[in-house]
Amino acid sequence: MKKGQYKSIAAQIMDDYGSYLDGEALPGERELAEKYGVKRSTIQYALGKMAEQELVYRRRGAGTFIRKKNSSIMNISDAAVQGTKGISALVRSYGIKVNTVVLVSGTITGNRFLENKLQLQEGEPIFALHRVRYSNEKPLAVEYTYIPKELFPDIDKMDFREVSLYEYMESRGHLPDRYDKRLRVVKLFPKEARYLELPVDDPAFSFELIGVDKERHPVEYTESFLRCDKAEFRFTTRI
Amino acid sequence: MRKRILFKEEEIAREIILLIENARLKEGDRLPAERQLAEEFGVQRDTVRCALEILLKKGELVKVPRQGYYVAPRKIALNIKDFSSVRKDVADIGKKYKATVLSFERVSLDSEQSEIAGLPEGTICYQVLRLRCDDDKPISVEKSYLPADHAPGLTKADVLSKPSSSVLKQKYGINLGSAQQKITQVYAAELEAALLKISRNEPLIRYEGIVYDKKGRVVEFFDNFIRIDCIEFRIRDFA
Repeated sequence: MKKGQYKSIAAQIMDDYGSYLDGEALPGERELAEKYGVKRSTIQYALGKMAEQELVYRRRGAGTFIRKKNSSIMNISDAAVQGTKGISALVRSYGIKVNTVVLVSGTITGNRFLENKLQLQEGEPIFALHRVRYSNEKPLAVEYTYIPKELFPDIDKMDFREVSLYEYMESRGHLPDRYDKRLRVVKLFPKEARYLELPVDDPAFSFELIGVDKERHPVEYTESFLRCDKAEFRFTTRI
Repeated sequence: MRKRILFKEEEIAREIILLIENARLKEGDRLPAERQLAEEFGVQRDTVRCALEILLKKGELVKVPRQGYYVAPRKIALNIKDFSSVRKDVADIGKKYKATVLSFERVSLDSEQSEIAGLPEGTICYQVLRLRCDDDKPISVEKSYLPADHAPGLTKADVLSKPSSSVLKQKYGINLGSAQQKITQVYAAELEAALLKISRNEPLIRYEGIVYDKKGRVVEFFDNFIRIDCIEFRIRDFA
């Protein structure tokens, strides 16, 4: 098996069968191996990994079944509580295809609210990036992100449909390292409802976060809205 | 033509949020009249009205008919990095956050409860139903379960004025180790709707957790339903 091949197989399986209902059976291993043109051992390995990620479950002698409860609901504690992973990396780790639509991006100045959040002087330029994130072609989140342009002079040359924002920020030496996050449940406004393909006033998770780099400089301010049916937050605290 | 990045009414709304966050406007303060705000921000009255609508919906303001807009009561921020403060009854959050014990029963866990807690079905637990209020406003309803093995002879009087975890510590000398927690969004069923004085099927925050002692034994698990307009979770990993 080629290194990492199971990942693309897992992603293909999720593409093809991810919309199955909870408990529905996947085709047999042999059939899947034929369908994707790989060895049966690769399929077995991919299914094993998917079972570890709780995307499917396996019953001896019966086969492999879609586990909907956990696969459609992502545990985003990694991104939300501890980690520095972006949404796209996290979603991909679930074997789910993610893509991004950039609604608008560009430089703004003179917004006191954002200057305050990013601890900038009056008039310092801020790069705005408004995105909708899709997992398996379904809207997952709307994100309004603001970045101090001073630290990222070439940011407006990047195509954030293709480039991960966090990979870019890391390459410039200012990856968010720690966060101050606020999580609420809100009723959706018409604009965000439209992006998330939900009725107005349906609930959504709303995040407001400030990310600081290793030197504790604010490098990101984001407001985001996440579909409640796609995410849950898990975290462990020491007492 | 370049796409507009920030809409004027959203900018005005954020300016007002900034005034609230900087305590230039305080809880219960009345906002200046629309006309005056329009002059101060140098925009049309329509724009101000849209901004106020946004803030109403965000729960930052409340509207009193024929009087005007007031700064809404601040949300109670629960810092999930600090478990004991999250569940304190009269917390150091500048609010009278009071718990009433509605019922105290000895129950044996059904299959669903036992699966959630990772305890055998039929385990005997004390079940405490608590309603938490801010003054007279109901905020959350919580079911807390304490396995009787670790809290023999627990009485209603023990839990009347203290959260379950403090009782375990103080009466039984149990050293708490960690808590696994989860936040999701649900809709109010009959019981929650009645106790929280909201309509059925209104969105709620569900906050569940399992508390382990230092030896890794489950000493409590809880299931908390919280009104979305009163609470925000704060996750802050830098000072």
